[in-house]
Amino acid sequence: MHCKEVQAVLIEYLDQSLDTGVAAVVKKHLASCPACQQEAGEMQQLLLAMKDTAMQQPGQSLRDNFQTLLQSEMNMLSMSHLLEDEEKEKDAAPAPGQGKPAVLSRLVWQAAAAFLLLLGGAWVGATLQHKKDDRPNEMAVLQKEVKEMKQMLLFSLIDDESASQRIKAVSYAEELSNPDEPVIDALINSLNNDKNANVRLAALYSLARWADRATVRDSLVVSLGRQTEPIVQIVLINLLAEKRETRAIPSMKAILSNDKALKEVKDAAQKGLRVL
Amino acid sequence: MLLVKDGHLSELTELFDRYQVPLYNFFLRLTLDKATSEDLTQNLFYRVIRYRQSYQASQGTFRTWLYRMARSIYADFYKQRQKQPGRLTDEGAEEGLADHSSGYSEADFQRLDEALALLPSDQREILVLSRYQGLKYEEISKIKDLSVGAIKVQVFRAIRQLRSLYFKQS
Repeated sequence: MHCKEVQAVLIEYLDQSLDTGVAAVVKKHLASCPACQQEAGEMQQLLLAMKDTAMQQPGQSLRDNFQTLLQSEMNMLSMSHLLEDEEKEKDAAPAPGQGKPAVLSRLVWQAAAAFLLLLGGAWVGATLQHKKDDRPNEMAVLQKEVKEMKQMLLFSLIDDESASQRIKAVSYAEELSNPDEPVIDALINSLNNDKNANVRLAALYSLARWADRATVRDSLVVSLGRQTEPIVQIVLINLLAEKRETRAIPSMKAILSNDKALKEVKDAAQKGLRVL
Repeated sequence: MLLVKDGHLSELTELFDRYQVPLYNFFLRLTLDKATSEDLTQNLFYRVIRYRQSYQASQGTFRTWLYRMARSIYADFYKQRQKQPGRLTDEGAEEGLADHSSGYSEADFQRLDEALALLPSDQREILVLSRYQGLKYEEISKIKDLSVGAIKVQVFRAIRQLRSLYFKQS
């Protein structure tokens, strides 16, 4: 073997990945050639040093940011699943005369999904560009945007012709920590006027979280006089009783004296009156 | 990764935990800058999340897919840096690199890093992949779309170059 040939396989020789036969020839050559021996020695030194160089740990923020990214992607994914379900629902049961609203509501969904993607992109851009220092501020902006997005979804769905969509709309409100007046008004409107009892009930559950607000409480008191669905009545009575809302007493008494009222509703009213 | 593709996104956390340190170090060896390396790693995993549907098990392992993306991210970054040279190489990047088991002194590692930094970018990269990160020639050949033979030649040339730089210093 010549020096050139030995050098060509030197790394593999040092890595001990050569066939034993070839390795033996290389070993023999090295023993007799000082130049190659020196080269082998120096290479070995470098290879060992590179192998033994410890890896450095990135900062914790890398993992935190990744988790946030992943979470936002998961949110987007569940949002797009909602979209698909919606479309399947529409395809499966194309009710006559509903063509136009269905298309419209799909557009709204698509707009919402597009908006979400945009938001995700913008946020990622912001995260990648900025340093840690201004992150709290960024988070505030992000939270504000998410809030606006949920409100937008709520308003776009609350008049949807499908009851399940309206329930979704109402439940978005639950995720808002501090809803604006228009959101509350929309919920109260659903509670009083929605033709589907489940939607009214969902609206009531959402509103219950802010039952300590004066405007919400006033509307709940008024609403009790208008509700006819037993389950909504019962939940409302329990809620108002729990809040010690004495202004609900007349409505409860009216229910008690109403011949048509269900026994379960009357029981709830009785119990509520006792508390008040 | 196939689970991830099927929508089990939460599995990504495990992949992240397994690969964030090697990939961060891959970028760190090439850029010599901690903050930049964190940004690039972040960017990489963002792409993993976004482009998870493009992963094909038939084209290689998740690891080679990951390194392919890492290379393209670094290439983009490198192009940008060419346009606007300046800063980079922060002092802190080299501290505590030594794993003292090998008997090398801190100064030796320091010199090795300096020699490595003098190598052309593609030579530095091949050494990082094959030596620092311990990837097999077959993996690197998948990552770089070259034959195993070509990779071996590149590694050989890079180590020779590194050797002449390192031992010329002393």
